[in-house]
Amino acid sequence: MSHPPELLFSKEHEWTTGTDGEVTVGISSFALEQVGDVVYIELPEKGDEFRAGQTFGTIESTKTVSDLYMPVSGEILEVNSEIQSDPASLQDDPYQEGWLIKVDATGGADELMTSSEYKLFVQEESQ
Amino acid sequence: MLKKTPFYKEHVKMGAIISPFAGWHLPSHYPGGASREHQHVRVHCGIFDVSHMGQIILSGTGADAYLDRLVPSDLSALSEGKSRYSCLLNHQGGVMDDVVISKVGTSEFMLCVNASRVERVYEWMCESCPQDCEVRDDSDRYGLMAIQGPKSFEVVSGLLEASEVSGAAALAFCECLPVTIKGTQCLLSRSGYTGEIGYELYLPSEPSFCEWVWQQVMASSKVMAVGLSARNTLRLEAGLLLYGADITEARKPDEVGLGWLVSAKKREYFGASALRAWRSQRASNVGRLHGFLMEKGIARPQMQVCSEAKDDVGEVTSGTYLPTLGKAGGLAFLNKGFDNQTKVLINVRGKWHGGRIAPLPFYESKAKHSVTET
Repeated sequence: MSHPPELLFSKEHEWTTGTDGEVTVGISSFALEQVGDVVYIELPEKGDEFRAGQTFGTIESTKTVSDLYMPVSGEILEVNSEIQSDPASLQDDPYQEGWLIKVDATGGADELMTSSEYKLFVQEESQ
Repeated sequence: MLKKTPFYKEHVKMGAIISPFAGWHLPSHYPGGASREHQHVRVHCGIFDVSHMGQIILSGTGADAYLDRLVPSDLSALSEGKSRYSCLLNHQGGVMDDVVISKVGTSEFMLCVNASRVERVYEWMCESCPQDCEVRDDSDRYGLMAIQGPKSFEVVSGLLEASEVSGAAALAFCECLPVTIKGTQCLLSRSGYTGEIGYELYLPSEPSFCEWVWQQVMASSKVMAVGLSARNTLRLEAGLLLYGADITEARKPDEVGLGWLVSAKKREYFGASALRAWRSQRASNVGRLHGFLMEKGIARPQMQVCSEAKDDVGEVTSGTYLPTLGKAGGLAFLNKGFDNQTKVLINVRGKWHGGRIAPLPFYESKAKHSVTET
């Protein structure tokens, strides 16, 4: 399983494009495989503020509800409403069209992993 | 220590996401996801590993008489090769388990019980059965495969010897038949838990044999392997109950829509006097299970249900997204006085989402037949 090298990943399987300024946040293909298929996505409102580690939304499969955790601190600039109205398409393109939120990041991204570190992390987690 | 079914290696080979369920390692879903598996069963055919279900054998000259005490249903007309859905009640009249009982010999019955209830039911039967009966837990001796969907007969017949195909074709719902697969005697039952026409195949639990059967069935282009996630959405659309969620030992059969299993003619069975007393005092004033559909969001088990005036009226027992309907729904245990189409509010992690009481089942197969199985 490959994860784009330009992204950073959290232990909770969120990805970000960067750590300062406007960052985009989504969820990894590994997490989506575990979930099975996404049937509902709940995302915050534009303007909401979160600290890194806080829950900013949920993704749901037929089986489970999984919380989404902020990989950075900051204010929500934009929410992907298209993915909310067609949650099943998240699986098709989790790293491009499947972005979830854009954040005006103010920090808190100390523990993010590079793509290759994340690959090792999920290998250990799935054993 | 979680147990592995005799099909376990096949799940791993297929890349299944394995989850613990009632003491077993079972596939939650396979690559491709549960919604796809669900739709495949509705249109074609799916196979399920349901080896976690327990099989308790009751035999002996007193078996018929003991069975009559064990369940509240009248099974006196149950003939060899036939099955019936029923339940066991505890001494308070609560539902100990919902079971499928098959008459597999002259004085021999097989009870197919829920995985989480095997010990409870087995101990109950060992303690209560008279000396002229024998009770045996054969759960580890069977691998159980469910083959469900409009194309299920084609798939099943591909496994059978030519001389047995016509017998299998003639099986009516709730009938079972010994069949031979690769020279090995198995039991084929026309039953299921999906709302589709389907079969359940009891195989000797030898892993190499079960794996071979799994591979034979999967070789058909019509077949998809289906995990527990889709099993749950399929049964819920069909309005079928799940023990431990919709049914518990604290509930009387009437409260969970199983009052029809209690024979009006029978006087003596376990739990009879408690159930009669409860019916005469309280039955008209208690709640029951209802179906509901959501306007938005997904209700999950244990979520609070309120009236439009925000009065607490009950809780969700089963709830998820229902793929054939394209919306979320489930079952909720509600206080007395709720009719179809009544609006309710459900507390989804602190937010109120609207729903509506809806008649069950949510989905009915076009192939006409009734389905009751655990």
